Parts: sequence; structure tokens; C-alpha cells
Amino acid sequence: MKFESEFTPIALDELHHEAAVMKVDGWRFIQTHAVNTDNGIDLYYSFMKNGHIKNLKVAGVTKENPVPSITDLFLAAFVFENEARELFGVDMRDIAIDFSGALYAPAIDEPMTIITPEQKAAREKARKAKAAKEAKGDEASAPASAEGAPRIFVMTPERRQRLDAKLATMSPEKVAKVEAALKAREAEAAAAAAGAPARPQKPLRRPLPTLARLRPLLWKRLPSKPFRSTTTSSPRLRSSTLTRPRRCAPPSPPATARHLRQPNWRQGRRLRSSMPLSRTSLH
Amino acid sequence: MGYASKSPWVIHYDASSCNGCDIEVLAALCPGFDVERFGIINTGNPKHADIFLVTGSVNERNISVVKQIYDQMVEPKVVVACGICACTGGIFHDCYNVIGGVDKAIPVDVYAPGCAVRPEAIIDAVVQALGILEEKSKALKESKKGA
Amino acid sequence: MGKKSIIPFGPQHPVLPEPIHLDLVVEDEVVLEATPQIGFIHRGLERLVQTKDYNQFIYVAERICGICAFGHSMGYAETIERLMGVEVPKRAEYLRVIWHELSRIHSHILWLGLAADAFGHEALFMHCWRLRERVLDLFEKTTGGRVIFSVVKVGGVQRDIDKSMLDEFISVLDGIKDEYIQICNAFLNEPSVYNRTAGIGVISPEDAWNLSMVGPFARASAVNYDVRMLGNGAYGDLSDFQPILSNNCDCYARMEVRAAEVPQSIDIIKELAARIPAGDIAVPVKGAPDIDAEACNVLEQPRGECFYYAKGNGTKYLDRMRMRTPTSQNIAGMAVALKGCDVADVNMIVLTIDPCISCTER
Repeated sequence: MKFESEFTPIALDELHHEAAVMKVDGWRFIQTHAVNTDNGIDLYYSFMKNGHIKNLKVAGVTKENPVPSITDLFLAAFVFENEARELFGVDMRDIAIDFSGALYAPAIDEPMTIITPEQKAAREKARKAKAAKEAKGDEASAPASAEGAPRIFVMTPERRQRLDAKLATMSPEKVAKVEAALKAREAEAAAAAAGAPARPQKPLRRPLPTLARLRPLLWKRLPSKPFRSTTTSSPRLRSSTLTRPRRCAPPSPPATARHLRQPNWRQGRRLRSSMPLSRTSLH
Repeated sequence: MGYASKSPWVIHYDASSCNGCDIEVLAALCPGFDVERFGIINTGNPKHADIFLVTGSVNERNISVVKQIYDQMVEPKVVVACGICACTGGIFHDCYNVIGGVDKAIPVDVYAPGCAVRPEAIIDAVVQALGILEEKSKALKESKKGA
Repeated sequence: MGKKSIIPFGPQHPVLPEPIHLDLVVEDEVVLEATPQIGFIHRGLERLVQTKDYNQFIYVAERICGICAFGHSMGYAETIERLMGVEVPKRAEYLRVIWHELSRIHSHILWLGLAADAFGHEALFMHCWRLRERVLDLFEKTTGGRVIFSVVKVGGVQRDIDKSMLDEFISVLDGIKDEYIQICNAFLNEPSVYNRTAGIGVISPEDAWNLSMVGPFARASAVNYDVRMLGNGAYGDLSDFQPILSNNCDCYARMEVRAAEVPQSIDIIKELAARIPAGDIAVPVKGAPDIDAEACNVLEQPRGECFYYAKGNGTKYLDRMRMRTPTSQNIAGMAVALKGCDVADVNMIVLTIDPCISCTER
């Protein structure tokens, strides 16, 4: 039995309203995170109720769009919103406990928005491959009758010679497996020729991307200190003293917490005059 | 054996570690491996400590902290880098916030690799550190005599 | 009206296994405000998805935290399996849950030891960790590692536990149980411990719900939520699972809840070990996640609910991997619990949320 999850896109101006609706409906706040995409930052807000996870997705947030904080509804979000601001550069406004960039103070600014050139190239390639595949799929679906016949494997003498050369180097179990598979395929080909339905065609094996083949040659250690500036605004100087969060706006506790007064120790001693039995049975 | 290496006190600090090496350091002090029988106590005060056990690949914020603890310790002192993250940065050596090993912040005397470093390796490293501590103590005495 | 002063606590402190800095605004021994400052463990490992592919990243995921190591590797593997639509064999699911429950036992005993050290009972700390060594021996026999196991992979697990080893698990756990109950008596039925922990750091059930707390920290404030109830993986095959709750909402209740979860985990391991099916322990996983494929997953780690999110981009490298750990959710609760307590109780309260700052900061 698995739980269900869904991803629901919403607009940035609906965000606060939707979060308030979730709170009133009794959804529990799970987390907030950001994803770096080509069109800006996608923000995800996750909620759970009765084993069902709902992710609200705000797509394409850029620096020009200020994002309202939901810490007035869910105080626990302050850690994630501070993190989104520091690591992704999202312009979050009105966070209840605001660290003003001093939560992590990473060595480079907005580190999660930086993608290495090799990664960019690999992603471009994957996208192109998918687009090409889809285009092919559109073309192939039209003349279905001509191209619909399954590919039949024919064992030519050259192929058999090559195969025998390979099998000579393999272990007996492997040889037995290969021979069994070949026999099964021949039986299927015969059945197809006799008019029985063919087995569904296996998709062609994707060729290895060039980068993976070249990886051993390209493998080099990334510089351990990228993007470190040597000017006076160097991060090392900036973080040489422990920076403290802004103290002028202390977090105001939620209204319900005001009644939470800690009993002072004298009052506490009076309350603790009798020892309860251990409630949980450990035997 | 001089006085310096009898019952050395240890100070332990987690400099951006995943806690694996830290719990192994504490396990070395607990009855399973029990280095406390040699008089080794985990103190929190740098001025009382002889050996500084550092774990973790140091991150930007921790550089000053590690340096401060090292500077507050009194000579002769030894630094033991526990775990591969403390030696070279480990699996995180190319992370943006990591400087890649404790020896980029303070001078290290003994390197104890492992992920997580085994208590036996920590004990071995501490024993080697005791030898180095003894040498440093002698050198300090010589320099004081000369002055 | 006393004088206000600021006491800095951490990052280096003998009671703190991890660096965290708290500025305690104190007036005559009472803490008015405590703002946590973290950032000493931020390594930035979520960006390592760009240099390590989805199979290699599991080793990074394990090393987010040494105590919750198995939980992270299991959660990560489950997320990628959801992303790519891989069905893991039943035996692998059972093995993962057995190791995970053992990891929970080890984490709770570790925490009990640290809690004892926090209120000054060092002998009890030593006893707990001595007991923990027996659990670590079990890990070492089955996975080869004491702290970081590297035994989970995307598609299943890498090693099997045979019948004789499972029987040894059960006998060792039974042997631990008696001693463990004696130690729990020292925690729960002892007046000095009770005076240090009862009535301290109270968070009411409404606040626990509003602050979205998770884990034993929340269950001690009567929040009825445990991810194991959802029945993911082999947890769905358990005959009966009820989360352990308490109505007392203070440090003593949190100690009780964690102490009681250990026998519950021992029972879960026994039940699964008796019913474990035979079969494969892994399926081969080929190919890469689709472009713009997304998946999320939750898992009950010893500290609470952990959320994972993965996004693919057509290459072997993931686009984004996100792990939201329970302590980052509980920090708001800690900030609220620290208001108005005594300075001497600060480290007790900080420890009862079972902080794992390296998980929070990654």
C-alpha cells in the first residue's frame, strides 16, 4: 500500500490564499523547497492530510517577483524560506524569523543556481534526443500498416561466425543461456511466419551518450575553491566574525503560544510533588 | 615516558562532519573500547586539552572556530584529523562550501582515515599522537633551557 | 526587573555533539529568547547531483548524517524507484525495514545516552553506549560497517541476511531487552531524573500541530502522526502498528516516547523476520529518469518524518534532489520551547528535540 502524491501548479499571487485554505482545511505543512530551472526558480510547497501529499508548485519565479512568506500561517517554514533565499536568490518577503543571509552564509552566492557546463551540455542533449524521438513517433504512427510488421531476426552465416567467436570466450552457463535465447527467438520467428501474433517489439537500445564514453578522459577534479574572489569582499573576510541574525525584529510568537508560560521553578516543584507511574508498559 | 603523554586530555570538535566520526570518537571513550582506562578524558575546555580531535571537512563558517580552539590550546599540543573528511575533504571535497580538510585551517599531526573512522583507528592515531606530543614536549623544554 | 545579558552557547560545547550556536537572551537565569544560528555544517551536498549520477549519489545521501545514515539511503532509493517506476522485490523491502528498525533502536539508545550525559548522569551514558555496541556488532556482521553501511542500492539491497543470521538478530535483541528495561527504569522511575525533566519545555498539542512538528518530539505532545502508519513498503505488512503517544508534552514525555519505541521496534523486527519471503534482493535498474519526471517520498526516521523529492532531466544525473529532514521542521518548536526556561535547562531542551544539525544543513 503506498501513499499518493500530486503536483498542482498554482500562480504566485494565489500562493498565500491557497496556503491559508490548506491550513483551515487541516492540512499539515511538510516543507518548502526550490528547484532551479531555465525559466526561473520553481517553488514547491508540500502539505499532507490523511496520507495524501499535495505539492503546490509555483513555476518560473524570478528576482523581480517578490514571494510572500507563509510563516504567518506556518511558522515552521522559516528555515526553508531563508534557505531558498540564500541558496537560490528568491526574493522572500516578511519571513517571521529572518536571518538576512546569515543562515548558511555559503562561500559563493546563490550556489544552487550554478550549473556546470558539462551538465548543461548533457541536459541539452537529452532534450534534443527526446524531441527527436517524439518527432519520429509522430511520423511513424501514420503509416502503421507498412511499418507495423515486427522486425524478424535472421541468423546469417557471418553473424553465426561472430557469435561462435564470442561464445568461445564465455563460461558454459552463459553459452547455454545465449543458445536458449536464440532458440526461443527462432521459434517465435517461425510462429510469426506461420501467422501467430508476434511478441511486442522491444525498443531499440539507446546508444550511450558521447559524454559517458569520454568520461574517463574528461574526469578531472573540479577546483576545490570555485568562484572565490580575491578582492576585499572575499567571503572569508566577510565571515571572519560570527554574524548574528538581525535582532531588531524578534520573532513574535503565534498568539496561541502566549498562554504558554513556563512554570517557574518554585511553582514547578510544587507540581512535581507526586511521582506518576510510568505510563508506557515496557514489558 | 615523560609527563606530557601520561593521561592526555582530549578535546573533540565537529567541524562540518556528518556525525559518523563523532559518534565513533565518543564510542572510543565508552566501555566498548574504553580509552578512559588510560586516563584520557573528553574535556570541553581547550586550555585543559592536549590532543585536539577534529572531524569533518571544514566549511566556511567553521574555519575561524577551529582556528580559535587551536589557538586557545596550550603548548605542547597535537591535532588528530579523524575521518577521511578531516584528512582530505572526503566525498564532499568538491562541494562549494567546503575547504577540503582540516589541514587547510590548522596544522595537523596525525591523519586517521576512514568513513566512519573506526575506534581502533582512533586509538591507533592517538597513540601515535602521544609519541609526537612527547617529542614536542622535549623540544619545548630544550628551547626553554636555551633561553 | 533584572538585568538582561546575552550568553553565547556553542558552537563548541562539551554537551553538543554538533556545532550549533544559540544566543540566549537571559534575565536573571530565565531565558527570554533564544535564536538558533546554524550554518556550521552546511556542505552544500545537494549540488553534488551535478557531478554524481543517481546510482553514485546514494553514497552521498548516506553521509548526510551518520546516525540516520540508513534512513537516508533507504529514503533516497525509494524516491528514485518511485521516479523511475521500479518495483522492488518483497524480500528487499523486508530487509530494508529490518535494518531501518535496527537503526532506530541504535539511534534511540544513543539519544538516551546523550540525554543522560546532558543532565549529568555519566554512568548511565556509558551503560547506554555499551548496550549500543551490541547493536553495532549486528550491523557489522550483516553489512560490514558500524555507522555507514552502504547496503542499499536503487532497485533493492546489496547483501542478504540468511536465516541463521536473522535468528542471531532475535537472540541478541532479546538479550538486550532485559538490560534495556533496567536502564529505562533508571531513566523513568528515578526522582532526580524526573526533577530535571518533568514540566520542562512544555509545548501544548495545539502548538505542536501549528508548528508542524514531527517525530517523537511531536508524539510526546499528542500529535497522532507516524509515517509508518501509512504502510509504505514492508510496513504495510505489519499486523498492527500504533504510534506511541503521550499527553504530558514535556521533556519527560519525550524521553518516555523514545524509550518505548525501542521495544516496539524489536517486535517489528521479530514479526518481519518470521515472515520474510524468499526471493531476489534486487532488480537491475537501467536507463535514466524522464525529463521533468518528479517524485516525492516520506519516511519515518528515528527523529521524525523525512521528506524526499527528486526530479529527473533525461540524463543519468538528477536535476534536483531534496531531502527535508525532521530536525529542520522541529527547530521552530525548539525556539518556542526555549522561551521562559531556566539557563540550566537549555541543553536539556535542545537535546530532547533530538537535534541532528548535519541533517538540517546538509
